[in-house]
Amino acid sequence: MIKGITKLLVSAILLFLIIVLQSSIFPLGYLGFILGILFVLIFNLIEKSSSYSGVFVALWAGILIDIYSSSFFFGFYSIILMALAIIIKIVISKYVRIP
Amino acid sequence: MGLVLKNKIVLFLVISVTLIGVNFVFADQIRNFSYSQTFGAQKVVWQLASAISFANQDQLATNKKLTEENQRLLSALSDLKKIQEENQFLRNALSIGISNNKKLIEAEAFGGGRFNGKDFSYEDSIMINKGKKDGIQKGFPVIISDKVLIGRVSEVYDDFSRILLITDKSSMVDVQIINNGRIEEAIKSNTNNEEPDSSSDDEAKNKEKVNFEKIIAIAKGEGCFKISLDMFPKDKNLEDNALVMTSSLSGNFPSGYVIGTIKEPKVIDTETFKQAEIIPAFDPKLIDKVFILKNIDIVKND
Repeated sequence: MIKGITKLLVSAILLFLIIVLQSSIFPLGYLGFILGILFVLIFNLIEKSSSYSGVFVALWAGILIDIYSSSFFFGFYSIILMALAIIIKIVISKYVRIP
Repeated sequence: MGLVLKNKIVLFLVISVTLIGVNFVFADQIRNFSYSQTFGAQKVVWQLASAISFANQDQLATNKKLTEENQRLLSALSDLKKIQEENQFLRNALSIGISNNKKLIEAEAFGGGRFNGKDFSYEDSIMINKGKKDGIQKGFPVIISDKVLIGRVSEVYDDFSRILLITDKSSMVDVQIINNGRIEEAIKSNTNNEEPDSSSDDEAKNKEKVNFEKIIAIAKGEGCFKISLDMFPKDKNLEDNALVMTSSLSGNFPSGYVIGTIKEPKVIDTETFKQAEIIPAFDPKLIDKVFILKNIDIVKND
């Protein structure tokens, strides 16, 4: 449990550094957005498919992107990234077998 | 496994509905709170990025000094033009005056451009640490130093606002161009203290003497801190380094604020208008303090 919480905290801080501080520098705003999405994808790929952490990391990344970028509405990227996280978990649980 | 997946989908739906609900009620408050918590860190990074852009502090200081001096000179030129226009207005006894009812709100800039998630482009904008509580409203023009226009307020929260720079793709500013030859004329006539003769025969001559040829065009933001000149008449003269100032034709910005200078004017046979690049009079990386024009009365030109 402690390991899980530590993992979530470290991910939250890393995402904060990537997305928020990148947006403070011209013209690296693009980089923050792309790195944020990549982080979510990689996190969900390497994590166990039964775990919920990936969904929360996707939610946090989405909220940061919604706040520090402009989107159609607040929560747009949160919903997209959470859906992506769940899809990755379904694909891994059904079609990927690690020997 | 099926149950775990089902739980995840239920969790996803609950969070999604909550977020959509929050969007209608608390979106601005959440953004304002986030900006207030990250303001310090963003400010430090902003200043650090500005310093890193230059090899050493001396180079940064020199560049800043030269940029400020350039801005002062351009502002002085625009003031000269304004004085000449005011003289003409008074001489022709127009009832419409130029209002000086403007208040300046000083603010600090932090935070660079923003990723635009709607069309996957990059937005040229900055954040400032003043908002609704300080009397700022959407659309207020924003300047730096004396009279250099940088943009307008595009989003306002309780304590913070976003300024859309004039270099952004969605920005269009109506401008007037002053060619260099005319500026020298103006300086000469100003230093000789020529008084116009009030007799009717010379009235036309006097009008020509003091009246700058107003060539109106549009300064269109191209993104990535570039501005292009659009709708400049093909039959008018456009010189390199001509001064570009705001015109109050559309009523969006007050007249006489410096935008920049013309670079590489060119004529393309197949195009209806002349084209040129405008070098902005400000460097976005060096923006520190800005001034928001509050309660400004814009007098539309004829």
